[in-house]
Amino acid sequence: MKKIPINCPCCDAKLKVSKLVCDSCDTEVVGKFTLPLLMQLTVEEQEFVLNFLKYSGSLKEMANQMGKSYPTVRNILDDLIHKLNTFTNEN
Amino acid sequence: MKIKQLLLNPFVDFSERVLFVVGIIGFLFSSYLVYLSGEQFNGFMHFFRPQVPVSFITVLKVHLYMVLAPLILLYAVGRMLNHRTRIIDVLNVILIAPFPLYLVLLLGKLLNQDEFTKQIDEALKNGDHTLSTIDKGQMILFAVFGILALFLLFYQFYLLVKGMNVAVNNKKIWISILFVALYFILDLGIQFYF
Repeated sequence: MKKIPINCPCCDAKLKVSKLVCDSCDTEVVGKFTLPLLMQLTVEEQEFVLNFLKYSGSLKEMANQMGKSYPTVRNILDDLIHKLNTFTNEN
Repeated sequence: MKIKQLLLNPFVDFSERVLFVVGIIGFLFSSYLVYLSGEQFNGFMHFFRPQVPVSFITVLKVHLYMVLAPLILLYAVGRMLNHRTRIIDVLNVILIAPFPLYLVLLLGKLLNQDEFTKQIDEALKNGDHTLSTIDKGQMILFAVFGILALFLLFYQFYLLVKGMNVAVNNKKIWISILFVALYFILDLGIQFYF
């Protein structure tokens, strides 16, 4: 599956969705749509969020699964919260 | 991969339980090594030879102070920087960071460093300022040992910084410098009490 680019390859600014296409009838919706908050994260960060939900928010279990120490996983989460807060403030 | 990570930053991959157990083993082993060599801890990074031989318990007790003092200081600083800092993570850093120093201690004993120092001392007392009476091979061996010891001392601070950065989620270089400075200042200060 192709990875959706989040930032502009030329100027690194945040990209927006400008066109949505219906696969069954080829209807096209054109406009300027902001990417959902979670979509603005990197693939690794999205995976981390999914794992966080999967393990009911247990960082200890996540650490075991990821083969990382507890503070490392907690630091990733803290950085992610900080990043999401920055996105929210920007929007 | 795991070995590389173990050397570069063991605090990222290994659980607090593993780090704690290994740290305690290192703590006991190094205390025993210091006891066997008839020395005593005199700060986090150096030892001295007391006039009267000390018991293993006494060595352990002083070594415990050498762990508790930086633990209290670095944990307090860690909590100020990040309220989520856990005492076990800081303790593991304090226990694991001196491992390179324990290696220096062990190598020093294996190479019979005390005997070599005694020989140098005697040669200087006898007026041999060029150390011509000392075996050249031994001189080279201890020069290499000296360089290795310096590297390991630097590595100790590297582990301290890496571990504390993980424990408090720090990414700022000045805070890393602060950790080293605090550890160093405390080490200088604690010598007056032991």
